[in-house]
Amino acid sequence: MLKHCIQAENRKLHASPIWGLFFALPLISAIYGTFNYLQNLEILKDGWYSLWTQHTLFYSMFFFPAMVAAYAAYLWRMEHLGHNWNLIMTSPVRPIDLFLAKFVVVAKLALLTHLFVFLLYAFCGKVFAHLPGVPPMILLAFLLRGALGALAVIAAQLVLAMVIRSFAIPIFLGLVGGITGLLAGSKGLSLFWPYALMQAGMNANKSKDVFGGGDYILFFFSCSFWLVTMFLVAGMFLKKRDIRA
Amino acid sequence: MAGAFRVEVQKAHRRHDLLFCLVVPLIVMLWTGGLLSPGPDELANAYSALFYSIPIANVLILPIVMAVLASRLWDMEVKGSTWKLLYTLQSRRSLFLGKALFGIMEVLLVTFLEMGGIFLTGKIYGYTEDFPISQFFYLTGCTLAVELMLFFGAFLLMLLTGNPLLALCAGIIASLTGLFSAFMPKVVSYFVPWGYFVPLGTYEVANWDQAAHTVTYGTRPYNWGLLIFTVLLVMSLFYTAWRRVQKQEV
Repeated sequence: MLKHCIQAENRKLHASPIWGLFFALPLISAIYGTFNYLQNLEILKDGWYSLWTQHTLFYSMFFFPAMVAAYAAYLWRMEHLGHNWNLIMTSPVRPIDLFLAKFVVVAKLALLTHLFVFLLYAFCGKVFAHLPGVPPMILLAFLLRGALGALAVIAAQLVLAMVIRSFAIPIFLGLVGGITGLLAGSKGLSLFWPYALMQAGMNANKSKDVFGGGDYILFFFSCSFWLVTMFLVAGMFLKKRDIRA
Repeated sequence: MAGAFRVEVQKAHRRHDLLFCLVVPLIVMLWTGGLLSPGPDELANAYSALFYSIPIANVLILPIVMAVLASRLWDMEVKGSTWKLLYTLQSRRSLFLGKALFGIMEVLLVTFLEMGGIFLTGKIYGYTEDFPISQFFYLTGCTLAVELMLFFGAFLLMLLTGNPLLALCAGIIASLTGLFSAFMPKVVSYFVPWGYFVPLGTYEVANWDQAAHTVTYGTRPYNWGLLIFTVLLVMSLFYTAWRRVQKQEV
């Protein structure tokens, strides 16, 4: 049944305006990041690494949570329209499967966005910045870490979009999450707040690897903890929230 | 129109719009004020730092906030297709003006609370710099004008598509491009109206001492020409939205 739910969620994305956001945000980030890098070559001297900081700075701090929030709110919007909530609550599907299917689809979108960001980064590095060789492997590790941290943000946004029937408010809360994540990161509290995990994983605008001291285990634990917590919250909500006559 | 406005106020009770309008300035002030909580030697420069930071925070947050306010105002009619019913029960003029007036009130509330927050932040942290009154009123006017432009832009998108997704996506993209335009050459920022918070601002970094970690701020002359252009954009967006309501088929 989960497979059918995933197929249904995927169908919602066909010819959806959400793809505009998918292409626009990384593209704008890449244009600005490359421009800024080329304008500040006298300060940014670490080649591929410096270009990475410029490409991912604003994207990972503010706009990734807002973008994921838009993905999540879009997938829940149909359920909040008319009597569709009653329909899904009475359908022969485990409620948690609905949540899980949306999670899989948003995670897939987020992962594709990440890959797109990396492709644009490599392209701009070679074509515009004329950087030698290929991007260092450590940046690929940053990307994978960022994707792992992103899973907690995705689950949190899906919970918010499920609980709040408005389309717009969860997106605003995603932006607020990004800002609070930035503040948590600046105070060294990245592991205690889900919205800071992706930023920390991406190592955006940091001169040294934030997990250079061997904090990987704590990072993985924190990602798992927030992910499981969000799934438990979603499960409890879906169990308690009955149909509305 | 007074009746239509009262109805919008009643609808907003269930949307908790007042709470939302209170939360937004609080976030801006906690963010800018919190980041700028200065040491004793920086208090003499603190209002300048705040006046420099607020347009940058605004350019990041307010395009999405205005898209949220505008989309929620019309989305509730879209969800139940009630706009079709309303068009047959009341004049389009009263419906549009009721919504527009209510939206303007929300924007005014957000602006005045944010501006009040500046004063409050200065009092809380004990800023010693003289409060720049004329700069304060200019910033209020500029913030209000750009917010109204963003609001009616998002409202127009809602009317055109009947789906909040486009208004919100445009808000996110406007926020990103507006933020980037703030760090690009000034001429670029003139081509990004949704980021006008920054070119309309008068405070700029005059000197940054990297070794001592100190920043000195200077001011530019008021940009009246750009402010008038912004007001003209607000009026044209308002008019376009009204024409859209007039022409919308039931």
